[in-house]
Amino acid sequence: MNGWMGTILRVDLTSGALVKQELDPELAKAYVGGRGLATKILFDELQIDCDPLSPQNMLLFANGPLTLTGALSSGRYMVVCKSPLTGTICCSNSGGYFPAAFKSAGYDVIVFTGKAVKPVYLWIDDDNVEIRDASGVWGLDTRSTCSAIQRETHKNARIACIGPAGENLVRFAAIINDGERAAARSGVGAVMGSKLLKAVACRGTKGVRVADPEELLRALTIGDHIKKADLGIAFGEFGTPLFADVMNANNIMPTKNFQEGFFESADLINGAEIIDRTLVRSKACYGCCLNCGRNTRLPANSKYQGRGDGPEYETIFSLGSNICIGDLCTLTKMNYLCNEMGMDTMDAGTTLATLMELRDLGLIEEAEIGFPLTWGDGDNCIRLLEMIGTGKGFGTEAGRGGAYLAAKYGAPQVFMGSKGQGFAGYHPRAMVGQGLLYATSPEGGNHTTGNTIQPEINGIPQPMDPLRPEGKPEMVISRQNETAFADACGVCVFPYMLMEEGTEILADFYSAAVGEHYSERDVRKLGERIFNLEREFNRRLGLSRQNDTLPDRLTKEPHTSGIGEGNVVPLEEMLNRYYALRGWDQEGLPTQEKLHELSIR
Amino acid sequence: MGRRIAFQEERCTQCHLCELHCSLAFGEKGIFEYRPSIARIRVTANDDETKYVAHVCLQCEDPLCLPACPTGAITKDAATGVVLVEDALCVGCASCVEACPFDCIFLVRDLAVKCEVCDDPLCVKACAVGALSLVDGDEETRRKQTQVYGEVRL
Repeated sequence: MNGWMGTILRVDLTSGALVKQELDPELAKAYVGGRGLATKILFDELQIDCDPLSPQNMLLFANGPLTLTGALSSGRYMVVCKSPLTGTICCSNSGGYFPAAFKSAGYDVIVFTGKAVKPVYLWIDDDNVEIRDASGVWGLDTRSTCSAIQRETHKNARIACIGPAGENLVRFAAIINDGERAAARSGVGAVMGSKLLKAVACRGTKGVRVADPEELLRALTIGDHIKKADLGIAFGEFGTPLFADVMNANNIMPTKNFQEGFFESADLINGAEIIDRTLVRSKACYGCCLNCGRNTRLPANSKYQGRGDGPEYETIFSLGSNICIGDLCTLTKMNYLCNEMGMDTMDAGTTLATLMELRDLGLIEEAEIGFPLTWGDGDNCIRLLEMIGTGKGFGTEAGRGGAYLAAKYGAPQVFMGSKGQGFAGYHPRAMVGQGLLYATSPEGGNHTTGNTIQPEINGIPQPMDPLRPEGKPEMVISRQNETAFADACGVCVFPYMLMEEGTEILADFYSAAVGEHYSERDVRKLGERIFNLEREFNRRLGLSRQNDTLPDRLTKEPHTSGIGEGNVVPLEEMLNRYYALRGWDQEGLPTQEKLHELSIR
Repeated sequence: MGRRIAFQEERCTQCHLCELHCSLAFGEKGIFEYRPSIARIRVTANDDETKYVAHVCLQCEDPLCLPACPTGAITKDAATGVVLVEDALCVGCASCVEACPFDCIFLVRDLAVKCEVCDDPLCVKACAVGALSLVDGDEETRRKQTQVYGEVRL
């Protein structure tokens, strides 16, 4: 097959059975790969009411038909399961070098079922697949796990693993690959931990066949254009931390648990500050010309020491402005710690912010946490993050996430997220389309099912008023569908997002790889199918309009600064129109006609 | 002197685009395939990730791979300076791979393969950061390249 490797690897951890199954070409065409194909398998096979941390849950790793091809930024893989953080469908994704190794070993999808008797890891060396004893690496941080498993397998093996946070079932535990990159969101690491699966190590020598390499070579020219455009130059120089300046200038950098949209110390934790103080060099994922990654090291004169990747913008917001930390070294140390422990910096930050506000409201006692936890207190944040990762003291409670804590202490509205997952770093009160996107995402408040910065802030493809609801449902639907398709292809959304005609170009690459023509309209339809399937998964769990919500802070409390001062998110008004445009009923459920149109069942 | 692909470590971002595209040029006949394991340029990093390195043949003046070959499959083109492998003579013994101190010759499908400097190298085109270039000579870069290959093994 062109594009696909043609094989699904099934690993039943309970019995130790390994089965290689041929990929059905019709299924591949209908759901593409990555997020689409993995969700379809989960949808068809999961005992849907299972406890996400029970052996009944399934965990799927999936690359896509464009992974490891010449398409722009083709080094990505997706992790799909029922989330222990939200209880819904989820798809977490990551770049780095593991995805290329995974695909070159010859598999499109790995499906994990059951639970091992003792800690294990999976070693895939092309056709040879082994479940190996992981008792020697259980308990190790993610970077040590990588090196240890490389010593046991092959020095060039690429590894995705969990750290102590995943082992301790932290509800926002991540799966870290190559020591630094994270399939961070939705607690996929906890699902891996619940199965006693410490790591997946891959080495491959196979190739990805494509129908039309000439068309894919166009990516080199397009990449060159992106890199030479203003946004591309800035992106290459500053990476995603560039957004700190953009967001703060637009008063949409969430600050103090989303109470505000402007952080006075933003210029102490931004991209320029990273270049001045911590940057070793910039870095790219496999097959990407953008090098937005930040390889960093804490300077000798810093209070903290360490090295690693990051912070990315989302971390600058979540462990910076949102908890009022205005020191780059403190923030970077927390980022390293989360990577080493294997947990999502974003929900880690949301959890800290929730606790800080609960303290302000007097709803939780200092004694219960064990020490003071106030805005901007880096030392105690680090202390609590360590306790969360290692499952010690109050860390066990905190590891259940912000939504749990806010509800437990009697103020559910303090949690800044939707469906149990913390928001990303874009304040919806001054970009209301982003609010609609968070509310309707099948995975809750994340940034990986689409974001609206380009249309609402940068005015691409055309300027729109970020404060008004007009045109937002249409735009959000478009972003959600195109992102679902990109996640199915196994590419990173960044270069496509940076171009007006990004989805058209992605459609061309997909066509060139698989050898059949798909127009932009066709691929948007494929994205729509995937998105609807995710909503249908959630419908079976009983989710509907009542779950497409935002906290009162976004819909009732007016914004505090900038052009958006006084604004709130007019969610219900946008939802009505969004559902209608989606072809869903007013309860937010895909109608039979829509499901039929998309051939979902 | 001679034609070769020069590599500047300080520009590299470890993106592997050179490796990915090189492999496209050397697939089996009639098959278009991205297959890094057959590439003639290979990217790695040192343990603490301070150096990113693409290993590609230096076309040495006195190549150690050449005398190591028991069948005479490796020659140095007098006109261009490029070190060549004659497939028909190669027995896949890997003596050259062992002999190269720079990790720039590889065994693929039981044959030794190395960069033989394409006329219009795709690796150079694919490099988005200008770390690779097609040069003639350039001793300064060669010296640095030699040093970094010694430091960062594949």
